[in-house]
Amino acid sequence: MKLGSGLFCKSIGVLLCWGILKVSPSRASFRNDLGTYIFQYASEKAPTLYLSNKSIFETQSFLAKTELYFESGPRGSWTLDPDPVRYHAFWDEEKRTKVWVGRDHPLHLLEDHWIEPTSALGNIWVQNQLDALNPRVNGWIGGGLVHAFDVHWKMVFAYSPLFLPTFGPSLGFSERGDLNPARFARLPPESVVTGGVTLPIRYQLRLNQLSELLLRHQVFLGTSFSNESVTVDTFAFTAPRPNAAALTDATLAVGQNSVNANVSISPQFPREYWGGIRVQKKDLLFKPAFEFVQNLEDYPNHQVSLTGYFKGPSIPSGVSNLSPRASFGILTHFQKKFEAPQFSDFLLFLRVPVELTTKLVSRTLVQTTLLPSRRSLYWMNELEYLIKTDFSILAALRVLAGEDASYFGAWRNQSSLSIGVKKIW
Amino acid sequence: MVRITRSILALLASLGISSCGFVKSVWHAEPPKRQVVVLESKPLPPFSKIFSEDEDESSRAFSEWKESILGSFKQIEGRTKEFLTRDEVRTLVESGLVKLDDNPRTSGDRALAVLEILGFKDGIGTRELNDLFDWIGLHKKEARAFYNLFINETLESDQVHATQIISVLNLFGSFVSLLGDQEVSPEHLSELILPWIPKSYPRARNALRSGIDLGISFFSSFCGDRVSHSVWNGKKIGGCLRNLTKEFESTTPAIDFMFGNRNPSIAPNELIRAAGNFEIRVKSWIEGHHHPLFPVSRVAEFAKALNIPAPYAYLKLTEWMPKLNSDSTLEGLSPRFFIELSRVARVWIVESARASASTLCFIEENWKSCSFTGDYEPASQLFNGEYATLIRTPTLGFVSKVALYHSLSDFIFAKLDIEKKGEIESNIKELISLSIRLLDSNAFAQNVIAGLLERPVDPVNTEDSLKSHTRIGLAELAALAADLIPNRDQSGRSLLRKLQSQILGREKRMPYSMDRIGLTAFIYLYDLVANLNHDYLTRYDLPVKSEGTLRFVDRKKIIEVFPKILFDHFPRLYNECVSWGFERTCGVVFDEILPNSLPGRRDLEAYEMDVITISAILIESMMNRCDRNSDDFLSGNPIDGFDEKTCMITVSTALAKRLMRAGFVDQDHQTEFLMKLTNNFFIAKWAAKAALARGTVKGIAWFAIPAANWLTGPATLGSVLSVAAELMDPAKVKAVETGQDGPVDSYGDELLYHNRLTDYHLPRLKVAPRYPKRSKTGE
Repeated sequence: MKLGSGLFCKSIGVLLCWGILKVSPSRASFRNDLGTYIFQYASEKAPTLYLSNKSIFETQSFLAKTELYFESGPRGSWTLDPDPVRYHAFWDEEKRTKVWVGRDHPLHLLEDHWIEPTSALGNIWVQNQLDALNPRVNGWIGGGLVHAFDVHWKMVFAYSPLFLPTFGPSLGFSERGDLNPARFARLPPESVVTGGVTLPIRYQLRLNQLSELLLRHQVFLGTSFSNESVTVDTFAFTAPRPNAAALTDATLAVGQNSVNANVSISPQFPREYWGGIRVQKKDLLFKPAFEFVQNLEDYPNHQVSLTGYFKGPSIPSGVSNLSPRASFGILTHFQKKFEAPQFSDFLLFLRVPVELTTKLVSRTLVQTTLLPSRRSLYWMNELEYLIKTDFSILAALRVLAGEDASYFGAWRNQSSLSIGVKKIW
Repeated sequence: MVRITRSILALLASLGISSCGFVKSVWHAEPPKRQVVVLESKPLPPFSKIFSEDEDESSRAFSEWKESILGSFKQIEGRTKEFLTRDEVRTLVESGLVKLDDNPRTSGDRALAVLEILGFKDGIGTRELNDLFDWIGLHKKEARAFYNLFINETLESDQVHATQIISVLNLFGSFVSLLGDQEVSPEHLSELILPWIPKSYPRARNALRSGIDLGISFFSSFCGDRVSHSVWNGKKIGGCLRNLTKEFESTTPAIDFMFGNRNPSIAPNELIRAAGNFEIRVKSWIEGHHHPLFPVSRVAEFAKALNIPAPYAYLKLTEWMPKLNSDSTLEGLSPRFFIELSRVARVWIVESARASASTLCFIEENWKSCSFTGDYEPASQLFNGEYATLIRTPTLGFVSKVALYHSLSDFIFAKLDIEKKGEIESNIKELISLSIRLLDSNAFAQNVIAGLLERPVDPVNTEDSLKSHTRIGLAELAALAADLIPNRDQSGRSLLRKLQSQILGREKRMPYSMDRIGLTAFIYLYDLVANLNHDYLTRYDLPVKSEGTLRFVDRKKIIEVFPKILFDHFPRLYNECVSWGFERTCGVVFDEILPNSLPGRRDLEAYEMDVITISAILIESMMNRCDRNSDDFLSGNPIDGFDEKTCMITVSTALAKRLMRAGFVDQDHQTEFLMKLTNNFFIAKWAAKAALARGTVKGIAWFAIPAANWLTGPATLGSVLSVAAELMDPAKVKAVETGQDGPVDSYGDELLYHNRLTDYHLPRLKVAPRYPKRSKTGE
């Protein structure tokens, strides 16, 4: 069994085709970035091959972005992740009410709103963990509306009848229950010690009816106030918890020649109710954004983030298309104690693109969790050299370190060096 | 701008260089170890709590264990839900989750063996476990008795209660019944039990197969046609045991008494009734069914497999079986013999109860150590107040012991006194053999237990013992002592006549006649001698060296400690010797009595010390019988042909004669002539009487004159020993008297000279404390 995204991709694919057919090709824009890389992981002798493709198709009322990547080798995996894919239209002639269907985060429908995984809301929202080092905040599949009361006040509503859990790197199980994990899969306990005897654990995944898992309501309601200096968003939503809580049942499986601890996992996605606020002072230095999200049923469970933004340094003056904005900040949970390591274990992050020359860009990402006993680090540095405007070569170093039970420490032998080329259409 | 760029580049370069070390250090990082889940279940109360006397605590512990085991079992899955096949049980046990031994393979073998013994042939499931717990719940009381008997407490016979025995037999019966109606061959039963005997018990493992044969033969013989005779049928054997316990439930007071654990609340009449009932039950148990003979060779095979040194005294004892039980043969013991033994038990218990009934403290917990105040003739006849401090207090325990010996002699008499003369005539050697074998059979049983528990086996070589006993004349001494010990309350003339007839007998090995009390005394003496031998070795820390089946003690050490032996156990004798010169009297006599070491050796076999005990008892007994007024003096009376001195001369010459004929002392024709002279001519007797009184034979010719003889005073034990010493080895006596070195015939003899014993080895107290004089028990 592989926790893959087949069904999910099919449904999004249908929506994508429908959107493409609905619009006139003459008013549409399309961009595609295709990259191919060779990765050398510290834990492996042989290099592996990566393919990465990002497509953006956009018309006046339709937007579709898809990301695809593929890694070769026994620990490789692939994914096709279309988000957002949405069709929108205005309900009224004044264009104050916008309705949409498809897949997108409701707040993305507001201008200049981008929910990042390093923020409080982004962290508890559905995260795409398929590319574990590059988590993304994905939207629901459904529809909604955005109503503007005036130029400052808006209301956002979204509803989804379809629930999609978080998809992490695959954790394959063989028929015998042995693990066949992808590179960045988080590995469950290997063995159990009982009565002084160590027994290997065999896992068995028990899923309920797929319809019971997927057909679950999700509702989002929010307001937004925005002027030139401040943006204040308040919101509340209910949805099943995207990261499964595993209900386990263990037995001793006695065979002819071996005894195993047989753990059957029944993933549970309990419904949660959240409320939160997002405030950004746009006229201050670094345009700081503060987010606070509170679980309405579990008082200690809340997340806080503070993010600052600035324009990435550009050494050659006047050239800015290669240097998107830089950000830094903090993300944490104050009171809740989680058994498993979390991305929000007092995360400090810094993302800085630096345009070194008109053709050479450096991108640096540092993420570190600093919660005592869960300290870990992810540091990525990438250099991109543009040979032509649509063709570049890239080299990157990714370093991972940390304690056993820390967020990045689980992958501490997965540091890598990579080189590759990228072609843009 | 260029400056900024350079600065940034410089910064990045320095960052890059400094990060090189960090990257290098983390590049080869090992992946974190995968998490291990540690499961700790709730601690259970100790299993022994199930057998707690507190019913609440016991029930709680039982429930917790049951719930835990059944709960755990539900978490185990084989091919079938809630059931494990035999193969799966083996896999589970060998994984170490259920540990029955340190070796996984043995653990698995044990588990499968248990399953089969419990009757779970195909495997085990929740239903079987429930059945097992139901069985434990049902037999908790019996299991508690088993636990208390074998695990919780040291197994001592006087802690064993009949109710416990009945409970344990019931439990065992019920347990073996779990196997059901299937029959198991001895070979297969051996395969099932073998894994349960640790490899550190090689003798028990080796003896298992023959032990099972022995067990099957025993049950076959004991249960008769209630069980199969060649295979193990748990259900039938269990049924037999349950019937047995049911049958004998009403006889528990008698069984308790036999184990020395009498319930004081049981009145003597009730005890007598229970003893009678016991005999009746044994009889009906044996006679109601066909019981095959028990093949005694099974015992030999078992003992051999246990590596118990041959020969097996018990088996030689069985040579007497046809004589003691007409239904038995040389090869097989008839269970009807148990009827005879139950009769012995009844006589023992009835005599004890009747004798003790008038003693008030018979109903107290510590009744055994309670002073006896009643009247029991055999005890009165055997009791003495002068020697063997171990038993010289007349207690109910002493009375009970005498009653047991008396009932045994009653049984032997009934079998051997075919002509009903009240006396049995037999070769002394045979009687001695029977006694020694009887005593050694107890040692054999102890050796079996020691062998099973891998403890050192005490070498018991009965055949060698018998040969040696004959060699050193122990048998002769014992027979004489047994004749002298009982106070027959007669004039003494018949005793003297009897002894004289023995002296004048013409045969080399004389037939020996013995009455019932004599036989009782005989068994009593041997039990006493065995107890004292053990006491000497432990109390005086005598170093024992084992060689094969034999145990040796340094002869010089024995000479060093024998004054202490006399001081502790024979105080009158000790005091008399001290007053007449210890070396001059006891020193020479006991040195002569004690055998010499074999050529090239300096030691003696441990049992050879018994000669000191028996000789001392003999000397004390002579005094007891001849000193009629108990004043510690042997007086003479010119008008009494059987005065105290005459008695002593007759008895001592009888002793000397027997010892000579037994080869115990050198057969000196001159001495023999003198003894005959003394017994036949009154002039010689007068001279001998004078010698006894003066403590020397020097110049006795003058005392053959009656007037001179009458002038001599009474003799004492010391003067008698002084004369004996002169007669036994005049050279040693002379050396002691002159303070010179004398003959050293064997290692240790040198201690006799230059007052070495007196100066270094006599106890510090000059006078040994004597027990208050009593002529009869209860007075």
